[in-house]
Amino acid sequence: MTTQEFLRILTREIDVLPAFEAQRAITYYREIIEDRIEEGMSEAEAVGSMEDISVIAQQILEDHKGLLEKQQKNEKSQKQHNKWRNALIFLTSPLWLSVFIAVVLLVFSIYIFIWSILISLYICVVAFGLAAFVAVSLCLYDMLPNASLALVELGLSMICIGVLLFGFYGIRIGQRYLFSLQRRWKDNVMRRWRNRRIWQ
Amino acid sequence: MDIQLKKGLLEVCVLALLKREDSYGYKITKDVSSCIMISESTLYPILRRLENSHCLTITSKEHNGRLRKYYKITKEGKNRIDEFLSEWQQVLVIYDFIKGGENHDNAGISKNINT
Repeated sequence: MTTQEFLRILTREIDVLPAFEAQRAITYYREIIEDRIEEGMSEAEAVGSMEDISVIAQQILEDHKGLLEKQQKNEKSQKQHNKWRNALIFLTSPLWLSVFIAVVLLVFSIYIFIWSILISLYICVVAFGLAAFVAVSLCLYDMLPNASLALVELGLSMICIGVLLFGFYGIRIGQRYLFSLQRRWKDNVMRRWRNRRIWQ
Repeated sequence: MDIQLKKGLLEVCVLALLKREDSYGYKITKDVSSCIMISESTLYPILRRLENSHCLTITSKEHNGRLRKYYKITKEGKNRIDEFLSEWQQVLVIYDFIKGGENHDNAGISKNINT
């Protein structure tokens, strides 16, 4: 048997232990085997001269008896606690469920409101763009018969183009900021949910 | 030897060994076995108990390209040895008491045989 096989079987035998304690025991026995090999034994001899794995495992589990009993007790009380918690959640659901739905709908409506402002601003900017186009067209039309009017129309079209460009990029910045907030909030919620599942 | 008695003695033996020099698991097994038989699986819980009671500390040092755990006695460990040695006189008194009882029994048996 190789060292890896020995340690793999031993790990399996003591897998009821917390990971830290099991790893500590495995490291101890790995060192024992490596020290025997260093003394001149072959790997097979070093592993063969170890005690029976089941005896070693029993010794380790016996030593951690108190810890295992405490762990089982904690698991039992956690299960009990979860049962009571679930029963409480179910019984009080008429109360908290309606409040929860109301809060979710409120948040959703605020979200829709913010996006509708953005869309409205986009529409305004597009309207200014159209106005700039109309003003430029009129300017070209009135250039020869009425130069001063054409100048005014040109000025107005410049203003509209300015609003279009600055408005467009300003709204884009706001939109990107909103997207990043949204993404951060989503990641936060997912992380908390994953951590909650791990600790359970 | 009684298991509980052996357990207690083994712990002090390990501490006495570490008092001379820091050591590692395999060497401790070999050195202590020169006085009282001990296997690696017996030593492991002893080392754990001693660590939990702060009688020794563990450090990892590099040795031939791998890490090896070395055990080092602490002040509490040395106090434990001193306590054991100071209690030994009391153990000898109890030993004499038990032996005295044995001698009395043997004397009684001889008297019955002679009569």
